[in-house]
Amino acid sequence: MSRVRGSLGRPAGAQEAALDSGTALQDCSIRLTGSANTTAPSENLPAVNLGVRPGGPAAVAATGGGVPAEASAGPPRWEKVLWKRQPFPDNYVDHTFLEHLVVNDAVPRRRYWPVVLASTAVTQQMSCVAAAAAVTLHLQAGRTGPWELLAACGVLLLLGYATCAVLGGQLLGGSVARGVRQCMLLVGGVYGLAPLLHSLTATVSSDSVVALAAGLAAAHLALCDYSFVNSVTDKMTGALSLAAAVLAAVLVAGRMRTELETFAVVLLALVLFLLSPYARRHVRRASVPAHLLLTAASAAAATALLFPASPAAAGAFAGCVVVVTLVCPAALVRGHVFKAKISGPWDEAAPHIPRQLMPRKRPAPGAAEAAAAVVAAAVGGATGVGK
Amino acid sequence: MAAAEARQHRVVMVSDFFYPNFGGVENHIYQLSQCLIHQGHKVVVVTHAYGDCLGVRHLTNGLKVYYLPRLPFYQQSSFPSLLGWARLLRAICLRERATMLHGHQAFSTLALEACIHASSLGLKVVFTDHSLFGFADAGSILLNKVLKAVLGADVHGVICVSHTSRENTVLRACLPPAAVAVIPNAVDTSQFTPDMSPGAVAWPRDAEAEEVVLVVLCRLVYRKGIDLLSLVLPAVCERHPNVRVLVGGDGPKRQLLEKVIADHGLQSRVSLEGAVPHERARDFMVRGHVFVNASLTEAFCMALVEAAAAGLVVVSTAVGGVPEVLPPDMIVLTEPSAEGLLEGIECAIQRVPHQRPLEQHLRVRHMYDWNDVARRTSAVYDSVAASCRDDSLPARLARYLAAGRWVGALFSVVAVLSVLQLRLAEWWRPASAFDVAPDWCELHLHAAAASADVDTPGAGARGTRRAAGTMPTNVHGQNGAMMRR
Repeated sequence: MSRVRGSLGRPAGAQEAALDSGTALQDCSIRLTGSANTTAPSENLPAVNLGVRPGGPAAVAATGGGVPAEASAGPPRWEKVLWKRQPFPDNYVDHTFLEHLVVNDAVPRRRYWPVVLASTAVTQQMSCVAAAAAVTLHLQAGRTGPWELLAACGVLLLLGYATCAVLGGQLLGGSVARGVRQCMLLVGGVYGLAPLLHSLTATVSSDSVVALAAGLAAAHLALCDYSFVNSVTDKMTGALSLAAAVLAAVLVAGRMRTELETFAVVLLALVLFLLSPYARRHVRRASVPAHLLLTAASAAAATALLFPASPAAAGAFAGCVVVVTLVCPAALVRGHVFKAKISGPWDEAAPHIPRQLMPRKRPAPGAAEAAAAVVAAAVGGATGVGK
Repeated sequence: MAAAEARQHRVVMVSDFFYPNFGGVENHIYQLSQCLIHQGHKVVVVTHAYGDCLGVRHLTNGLKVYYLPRLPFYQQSSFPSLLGWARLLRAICLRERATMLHGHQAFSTLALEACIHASSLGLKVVFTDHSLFGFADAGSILLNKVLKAVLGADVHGVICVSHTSRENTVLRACLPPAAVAVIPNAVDTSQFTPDMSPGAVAWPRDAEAEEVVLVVLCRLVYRKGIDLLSLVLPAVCERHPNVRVLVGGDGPKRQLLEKVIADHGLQSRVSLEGAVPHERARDFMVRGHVFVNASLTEAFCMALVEAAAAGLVVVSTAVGGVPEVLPPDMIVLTEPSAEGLLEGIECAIQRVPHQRPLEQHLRVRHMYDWNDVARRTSAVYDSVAASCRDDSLPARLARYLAAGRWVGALFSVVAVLSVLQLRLAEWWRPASAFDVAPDWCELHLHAAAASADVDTPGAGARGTRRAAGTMPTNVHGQNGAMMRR
């Protein structure tokens, strides 16, 4: 291939008069502006016409700082380095450009039926909210009394406890006695608070209560931890959604006529929103058909409960269930096609930071003198070795 | 000299980030401006006011800086007002008879707005991007879209500081890759020399017996990997009793380091020295033998080159543009994880006895030079000045619309309003009504030529004697008066 450069410094035809004494070789390709072979300009931005491609007739001049040129080493290869001057123009695009670009590396491909299965968790939660709303409407209208509701709560508690015990393989709280004790504590606590909750929202108007409850229910559905119910994660998060649901229940319970009704409504809300995710999670983990059956049953129960109160609401709820179960997954799968997650070496590193790389040398509490002695020895040893 | 004057560019550098703020971008703008002035171009810097540093200041070699009354609102970036200062920019460009505008840093709203208005004024526009950005979060998406519109329609040439940075910018702004030039930063290596003074401690020749000092010098923030460092330092101190650590810099993560030091009883081994001003960085670095950089993202880490020039063994996480900066025998690259960093530090400690600081400094001196950066930048200016892209308003609007329907429409409106406002300003106060500012650099060069031999070639530019001089440590005078250096 062509020669590289003759003497140190000025290649023939250099326009620049300035040459450093310090650096021996300059990036002479820059000076060859106007020679042949311009890089292809774009329409939007004219390419910076800097010199020539390698191997062109107007030969490349100098190679890196201080390194003697290999006269017949073949065409120079471009390297992705900044510390040496290369015989390529500054805007040279190598074939290795963007070779480390990865698109959609950690993005799962979504298919329709698995997404439908995952959306059943949303349906279940919507059914819980609809059932709670329907029950309060019934109580308010006098179609049912508080004792029926308390009986239903008892049945639900028992069913949930049995589910967790049988499917989870261990009794909640360790033994039946402890389980019953926890249950008593919960029920007793809510019963004790019922008078307070009954008069809590006495001064708030019904319109505000209804509006707030609706907004809070929407917030609960939006922020709920669905991956827990779908048994993707192990820990129940979503404290905000739980708080929203309980607050809505308390607001609505304050509208009831007697304290017993208040107690019943709050207990039902706690059972449905606080305790049922655990039971539902067990069911999901155990078997998928049972989970689907439970979803269908809860949706049907919620619709049936809503129907006497307001047929239109029941119809709307059924429509929502259909949309969430069938239409939204289709939209998600369709939209996922357009996802393009770009990653490459320019990404900020997200290192896994372990809690500690080395065990902490913390002395046991109470052994004050021993601790002092250890620290003094360590310090003395460190300074002694450091010398 | 006639040829030099014919190719002289009159550049207005615009960025939110300039002295008295300290950082990579500020240093880059200052050094580049000084070297361009030395090569015969005219450079003016425009930035926003820093406290009571307001108005026009003059720095070394007649570098004029305009501190505009703009409001900085987030990390020294000014509040976006799309048309607010178009007339001010016009006044500056007319006064300085500017032919080119050079914006720096995508995060700087001043630079992006200046690109739009400069295009309306008919100037050529060059843009340099100094950092890496993601694609996923909302802020990045917005900024990338803005960049796509501005770089696609208004900017004639783009410069990036590393190859990785170019890949990132090309993807973000959807540019053709041949339109972006890679011109790295440089370091004033004469300022970063190893400690060769007679009173200096001898370089350790035994990694086990003699004391080895690690140096960390960065802002103590998350993206500089301080969490990794907090895990690694106790491990290093545990395994190597002869190692001491100096940590310079300040920031929100300082408490984390203090807690780690307290928990492991490392008060005598690790010392937090607090913020180190840039002019004392070299003195701080030469107290050590190994320089550790744990950043999680870095477009071009100047600190690594500074440390290598000062003769230290360099250890760094291999993120962003770091692998391109130094040859492999001068830097130990590690994975961006605690275990990787620990391994790298131990490898570097083993390298310390074989290290030759002065030889390394001489090698680095040949690698990076601001005059070279300025030469390559002026080549970009040459090609941009020679570009014959259609810059009329309809073509510009078409380019905006090519960037996206909604963002294109928005920017088209902004561009049209900008053009109208500047036409109005032209009618209100025509260009002839501005008195032109004299060129100090011309006088300087004439004086230099008069006092030297003009016959010998290369005398005009006086070689690469450090044209930059020392960086200004404070731009204010004693009473905030204009300071002439």
